[in-house]
Amino acid sequence: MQKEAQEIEEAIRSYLGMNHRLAGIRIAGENMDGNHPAIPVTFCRAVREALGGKELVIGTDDLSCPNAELCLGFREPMFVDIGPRIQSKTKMVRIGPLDGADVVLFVLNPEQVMIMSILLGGIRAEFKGERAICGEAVAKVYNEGKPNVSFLCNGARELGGFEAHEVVLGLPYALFLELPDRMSKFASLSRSVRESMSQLLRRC
Amino acid sequence: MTKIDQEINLKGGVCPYTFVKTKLALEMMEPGEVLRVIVDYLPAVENVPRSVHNEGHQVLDVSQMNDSDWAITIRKSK
Repeated sequence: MQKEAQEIEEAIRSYLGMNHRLAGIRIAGENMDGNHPAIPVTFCRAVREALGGKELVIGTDDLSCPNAELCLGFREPMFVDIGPRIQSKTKMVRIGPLDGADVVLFVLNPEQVMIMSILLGGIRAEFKGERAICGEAVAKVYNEGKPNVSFLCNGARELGGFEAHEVVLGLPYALFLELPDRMSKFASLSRSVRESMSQLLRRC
Repeated sequence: MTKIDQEINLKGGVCPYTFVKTKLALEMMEPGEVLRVIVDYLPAVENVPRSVHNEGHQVLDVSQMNDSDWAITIRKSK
């Protein structure tokens, strides 16, 4: 991983007090080298594994969930048009590395989303509890170039291993690169400062 | 007209349960038998046919029945 992306990741994880790593998602119209899953997996499961540091490339044959095939642009719908979905002809998706990603995924709790929304100047979230990671957190963010928060879906929670207190923020890579400046502006929101301020407030 | 051996009503169901219940219904059927699945959840209209196709079954038809409901007709493979 290039130094800049790695430093930004370390900084924002410390700032927010995150346990998980970030997951970069790159949408490609050509083949990419990399490790494919041993068996077909759901996209959300592959993302979950990337949060632990795993790096994967997936093609349509690697996906066990048709939702992700549609949302990520691997194929067109056959019977009904459902969105959000990437409408380019996707060949491969790289999951994990932040360098050159299109979208960066954060797994957060509500307080951390609050902090991120202050850093970003507000987040107008749109979610429906359907096609959450593939659609709401990746495709919508990729298409619109704006962050989105997804409260996940049954598939992500049952099959992807996401827990009840977790939500996912999808951030365009360009905004990810701006995080150091934004964290400097709001240094008082870093976890360490907030903890000391909380103690101070309790004494008032 | 294709003879329907079994029909399941999955109205009100959402992903991934619509596929899971379809798969379970197919498992209880004999090869060659035909299952009709009724759904009213649009993602299932795309997902169930694709998923059963990937499992090797034959999707005979996907039709809209009315404003909300869709019927997916599947022949169980060997």
